[in-house]
Amino acid sequence: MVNSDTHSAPVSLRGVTRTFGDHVALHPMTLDIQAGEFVSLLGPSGCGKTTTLRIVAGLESTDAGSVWIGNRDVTHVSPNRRGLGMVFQNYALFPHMSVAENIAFGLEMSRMPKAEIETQVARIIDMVHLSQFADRMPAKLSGGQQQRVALARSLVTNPAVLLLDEPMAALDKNLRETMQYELRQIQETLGTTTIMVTHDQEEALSLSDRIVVMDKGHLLQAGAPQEIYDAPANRFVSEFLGASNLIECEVTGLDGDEAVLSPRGMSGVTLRAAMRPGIAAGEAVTLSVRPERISMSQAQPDSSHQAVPGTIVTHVFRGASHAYQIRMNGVETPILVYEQATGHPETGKRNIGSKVWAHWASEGQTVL
Amino acid sequence: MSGSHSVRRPDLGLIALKVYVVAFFAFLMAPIVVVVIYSFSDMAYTTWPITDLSLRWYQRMLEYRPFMSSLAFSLQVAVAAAVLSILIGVPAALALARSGSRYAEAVMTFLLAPLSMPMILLGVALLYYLSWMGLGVSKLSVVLGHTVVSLPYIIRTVAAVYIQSGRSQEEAATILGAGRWQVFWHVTLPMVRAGILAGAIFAMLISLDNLPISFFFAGPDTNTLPVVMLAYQQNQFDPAIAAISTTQTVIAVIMLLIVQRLTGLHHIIGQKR
Amino acid sequence: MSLAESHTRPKRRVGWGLQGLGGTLPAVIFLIAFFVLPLVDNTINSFENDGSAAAIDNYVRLFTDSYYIEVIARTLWVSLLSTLICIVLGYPIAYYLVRHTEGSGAFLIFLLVAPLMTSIIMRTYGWQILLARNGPISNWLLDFGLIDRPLATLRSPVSVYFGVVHILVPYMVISIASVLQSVDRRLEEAALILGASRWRAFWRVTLPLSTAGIVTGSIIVFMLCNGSFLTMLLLGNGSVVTLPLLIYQQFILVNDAGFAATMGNVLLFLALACLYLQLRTVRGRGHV
Ligand SMILES: Nc1ncnc2c1ncn2[C@@H]1O[C@H](COP(=O)(O)OP(=O)(O)OP(=O)(O)O)[C@@H](O)[C@H]1O
Ligand SMILES: [Mg+2]
Repeated sequence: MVNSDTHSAPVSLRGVTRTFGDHVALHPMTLDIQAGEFVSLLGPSGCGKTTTLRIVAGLESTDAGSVWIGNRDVTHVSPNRRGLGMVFQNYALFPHMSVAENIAFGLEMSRMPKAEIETQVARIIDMVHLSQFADRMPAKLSGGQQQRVALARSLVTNPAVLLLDEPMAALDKNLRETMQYELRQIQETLGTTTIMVTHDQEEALSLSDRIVVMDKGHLLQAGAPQEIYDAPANRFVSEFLGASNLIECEVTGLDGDEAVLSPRGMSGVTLRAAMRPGIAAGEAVTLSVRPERISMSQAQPDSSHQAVPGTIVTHVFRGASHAYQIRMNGVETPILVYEQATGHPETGKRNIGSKVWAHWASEGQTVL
Repeated sequence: MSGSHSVRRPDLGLIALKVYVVAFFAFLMAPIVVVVIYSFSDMAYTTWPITDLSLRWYQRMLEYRPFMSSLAFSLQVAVAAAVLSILIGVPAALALARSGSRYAEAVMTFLLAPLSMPMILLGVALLYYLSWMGLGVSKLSVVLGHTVVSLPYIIRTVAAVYIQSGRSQEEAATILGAGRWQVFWHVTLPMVRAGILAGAIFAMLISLDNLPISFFFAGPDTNTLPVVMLAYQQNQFDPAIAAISTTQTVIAVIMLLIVQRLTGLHHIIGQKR
Repeated sequence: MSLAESHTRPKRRVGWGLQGLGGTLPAVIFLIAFFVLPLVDNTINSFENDGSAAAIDNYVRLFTDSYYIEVIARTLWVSLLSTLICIVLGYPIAYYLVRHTEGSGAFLIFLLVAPLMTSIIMRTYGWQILLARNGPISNWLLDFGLIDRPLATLRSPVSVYFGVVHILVPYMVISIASVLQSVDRRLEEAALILGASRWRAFWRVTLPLSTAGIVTGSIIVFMLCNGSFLTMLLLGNGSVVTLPLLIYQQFILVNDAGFAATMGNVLLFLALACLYLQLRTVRGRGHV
């Protein structure tokens, strides 16, 4: 769109490590990102997301390992020679330059002729709907407008890789959703490889081709949003991304390619799970089930379903769904169930205190 | 080879900057260090290199009466000017820090104005003015002159501390039933005590180093240390002046350490001006 | 005025707008008596002479005699040049203090303000020793063969600049550092990402954003330099005669009160101009 010959580049981190003093911010991290891919780095505060992004940018040095952009080792290349675009968390707009001057900065650095700079700037300003603000100073723009200037400034140079550090964090919820939509659209049009840091899981789920979940400087899981959501690799990922019911079980026996499980504290209830290599009788495992995968019924469902009996203890209306907590005898944490608010007279009418079966199909569970 | 182990590349710009920083601080320290070294030398003149060390110049300093008497007088003047500045400056600072008046800023500018005046001009002007008033060359004149310069330091530190501390403690005391004077005595004064002390010590350091005002009031009873040092330096080039300088610095550093204990070093930035 | 505020200040008098300023009265009166009136008196004196000539005779003499004009011009020139030197020497230090010190910051700031705790006479004396013909610097340069005759710095204006800059450069560093501190370093990083080299990022982003610090520092240094005379007296050996030095000499040698007052008034005018500029720049930045 900006330049017809849009190019994008793969990025890879190979065993990249970073310590600050004696604090390890990044354990050896290896990650390959394809050209044109939109990858989100997701994780709790302090887990090393920004550090990773800054290492890709060249703003932070590595202790060990190498960084490759477009099949070139850039570990020792300074940030201004890496051909990147970056949107900082607070946007980092130059306060002494107008909107147009901010956007033109990167083009000036590449010594583009003045006339061409003007047309390029005009075009991208138009694209982010800021034409009437070209001569304003950044301080006189709203948060959303500043964000768009930052985006335009980072895209106008037609970078091979776009880095975004919590680009939406300073926006209110509605604006954030609009901007997410716009960002994804622009990214798809330009096909720029994009790495975004966020700790907003919804943002990560809705924007990315791939999500990288990090904790304490470790890469825990990388995969498509659906994959990460449905098949979290471990307890941390399953709890961090969306709500999750974690049912502690003991393996009581093996039945063909399935394991027979007994949930801790619930006598007389058995569950089943596809066998994972290494599961043996007597071992403890955790089943993770998403609340929206669970249904409720008065009668006991047939044995093809996984089912546990309990009593409804709370009910909360959440707009798109109803949330129920079901307490089982002998288990401290209740099971959380989301029931779609369909407008059907039955939904939302379940009484607190009534006895129900919570049940789900075994495809809806993950063994951790 | 882009191996798994990458050494951080030496940054030539930063190395150059660091070299410059070292050179700069060497420049800053050199004249001071050299005087301290000479104060311990054993030579009659400040020639290079130094061959022997001794304390003879400290002995000479102690025996040279004008040094000792003027140091005593300088200390008296510094203390007197600081006390006078506290007495009139603290109420002013407290009032300005809390005043809602639209003139507060203008009054503050006026009270700090002596800092921006050339001292030598103040000295000349004060000499003729005080002579006309009949005070002339007297101890009181010196104290008054030094107070003009000390006052802004007190006002500035106390006002800064008081603004920082906010209103809530005083309000809490009032709600607990304290009267105006009780609030002042039990809450306000303890809050700004560090500011008063720090300001007073700065004011005293400035006073001890003041030559341009003291110079015009120099007489047999009113010679301050810098006046005597200047006279000595213009006539003799021996290291006694190094000994008395070093002594004065030690006094100043002790004062500085007290300030640091009281307020933290960062307050000093922007203070001594 | 909000309700909450009106509770804390119940006795708000409308009209004079002087509420709460009563406490400043002793200080204001003191400064009027011993600061303003002496300066007014000085102005009156400047129009007095032995009675034979017109009232503005002193000023005519000051502004027509080429010697005095030269002194005034030199005063401004020395201050200007010293200010420029302080900017050039001080900026990298301020930059280093703000951007590159982690643990060593407090120590370097201590070193920066430590000279302020020594007397000006001491520092001047130190330069006299260092720059002397047979002093350490001269000797080292001779030993290394960098010069073939002993230095004659001490009797030249160069030593005055050494002394003046040494005294004033900390003020410049502090002024610049305090502004640089508020410049977000991510702005420099953004410039780097956009393809600027470190130099260009500095020239286009960091420097323009720190001009306020340079300006305030310059006014302070210029102002202080205009008023200083000890350095010129002790290090210049008569090679750099500026207004304050001339006032000092006039007082010692000639004791021409009227003329000294006239020169003092020129200094006063310069000081007031600097003070005015200082207030304007501070106010322009919006934090008084
Ligand atoms: N310059 C630095 N010096 C010392 N420690 C640092 C530095 N930068 C980051 N760290 C530490 O490294 C760890 C990772 O920091 P990082 O900024 O990458 O976290 P993050 O995942 O971006 O967190 P957030 O979501 O809060 O922005 C943190 O513990 C942080 O304290
Ligand atoms: Mg971060």
